[in-house]
Amino acid sequence: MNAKELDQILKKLALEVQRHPPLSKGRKQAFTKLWNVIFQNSYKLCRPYKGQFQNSYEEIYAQVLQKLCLYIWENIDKYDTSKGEFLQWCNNFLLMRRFFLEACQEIMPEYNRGLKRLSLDDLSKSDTNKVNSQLPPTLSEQVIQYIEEDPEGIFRSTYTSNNPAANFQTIALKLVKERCSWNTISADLGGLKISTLSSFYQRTLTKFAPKFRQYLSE
Amino acid sequence: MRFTPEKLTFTVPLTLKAHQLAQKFYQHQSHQEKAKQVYLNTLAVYAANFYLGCLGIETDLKASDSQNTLMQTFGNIADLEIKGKGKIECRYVLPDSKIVEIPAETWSDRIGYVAIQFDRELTEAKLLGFLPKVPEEVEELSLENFQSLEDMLEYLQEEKQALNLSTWLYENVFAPGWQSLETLLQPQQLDLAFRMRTSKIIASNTVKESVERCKLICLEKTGEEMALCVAMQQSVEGEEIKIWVELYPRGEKNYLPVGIKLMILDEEGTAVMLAETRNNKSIQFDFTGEPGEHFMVKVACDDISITEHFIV
Repeated sequence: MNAKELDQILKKLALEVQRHPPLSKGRKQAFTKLWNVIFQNSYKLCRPYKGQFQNSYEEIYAQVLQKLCLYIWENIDKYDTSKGEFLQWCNNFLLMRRFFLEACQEIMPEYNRGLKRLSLDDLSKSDTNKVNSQLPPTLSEQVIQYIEEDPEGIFRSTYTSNNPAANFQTIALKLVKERCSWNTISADLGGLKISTLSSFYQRTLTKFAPKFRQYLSE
Repeated sequence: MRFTPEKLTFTVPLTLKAHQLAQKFYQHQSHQEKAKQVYLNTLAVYAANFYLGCLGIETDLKASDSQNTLMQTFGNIADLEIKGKGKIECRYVLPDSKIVEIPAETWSDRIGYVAIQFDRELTEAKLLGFLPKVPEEVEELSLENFQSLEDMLEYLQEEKQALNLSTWLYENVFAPGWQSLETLLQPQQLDLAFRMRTSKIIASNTVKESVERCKLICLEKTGEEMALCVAMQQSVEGEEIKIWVELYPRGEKNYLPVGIKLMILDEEGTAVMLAETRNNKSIQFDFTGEPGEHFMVKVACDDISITEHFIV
């Protein structure tokens, strides 16, 4: 798609957004389409301070794009087709520079503290399985410990389908500690339907949630 | 590059702020796979929340279980509470995958499911589609089963805001589409409407305020147009307001289509009045309401219906 075609598509979509009343479904749908085209062509948007900020540039620019998206949604009625192309209107240098400076203020303190966006590979690599026993137990470890101890005996005595084996303690430990699938849990409990088990689990969880909160706050 | 995406999608840039939140929750988990799941769920909810927030659809992130470390620990959840509607579940999809996981924990208490695909770097999230209901006992679905995002907007828009009848009565300001009776009804219908109403009034000189409006409605199935009328009168004594809800055929037709149901529902959505057409020139209900009371008017034919929500 050349620049002229892009301009035409954007103008058409922008007019489509304007044609629908604010907050109407039609406007939301048209805006969704408009933003999609802008995002796909975001390499055409201006990039203030390019060459500076090195690694943090993309972090800041993601925030700029969000600001641009919100700006377009809120201000699109101000766009006047007779005064130029849509990209010239929303992608003007002063506006983008303002977004950039704002984004900088919002992002840089976190970035400088060492915060980074993790990738899928980072998440698979980083071994969060705790090996360092000196660290305090995580929330999930505390929860598991509490269910196992069951000091009041309520977790194992609350069960479904008249089957004491299908009790909250067993299901929760299989799910949270052993990380079993619902299929496995269902098979282990004599083929009880997954929907029966999961809705029992959700209900009971809601009931016990205050107990867990109290335990964790102690 | 090709324009004309077949399905409506929306891409949200995942900022450092989004990752910051994900990392905060991530730290509470010891198991690597679980921690990763919490991270991705957080990003998915973030993306849906940005999209809906951007379009002015109000959400309540704090009331969502997905933002609660305890609930994250107990299940694979990515719910997002939408104010006044319920929870949507924001299911992430890995890059190049065509499968959406629907964990059993999310089968109940959801008004719909959004599929959200990440890139490998987790720098963007693409909202791909929506499904109001998942089939029973199914933990995995193909992306092909999902409907367009358009359907989600439609679904979330469906319930319109209640129309405030007091602004009709006291300020003569009407919602769009509600017109004077003369624009939609035939003279003989106007006459009928007037006679039916006056017979119920004790004496017309006790009426303090009155107003009547009607709206053109059309149920897709029958294709026939009808006029839905709402009339109100407030008498000199007391706050109570007398309300009439009426349905008339349109144009040259003398009779309403057969099998049309007119219902008055209370605040909970329970039908308190119901009539079905057989051989009717009109249907009329009358009741009284107090200021602040809610009611809904539903016109239905089989599974197709139109509902209007009012506040007295």
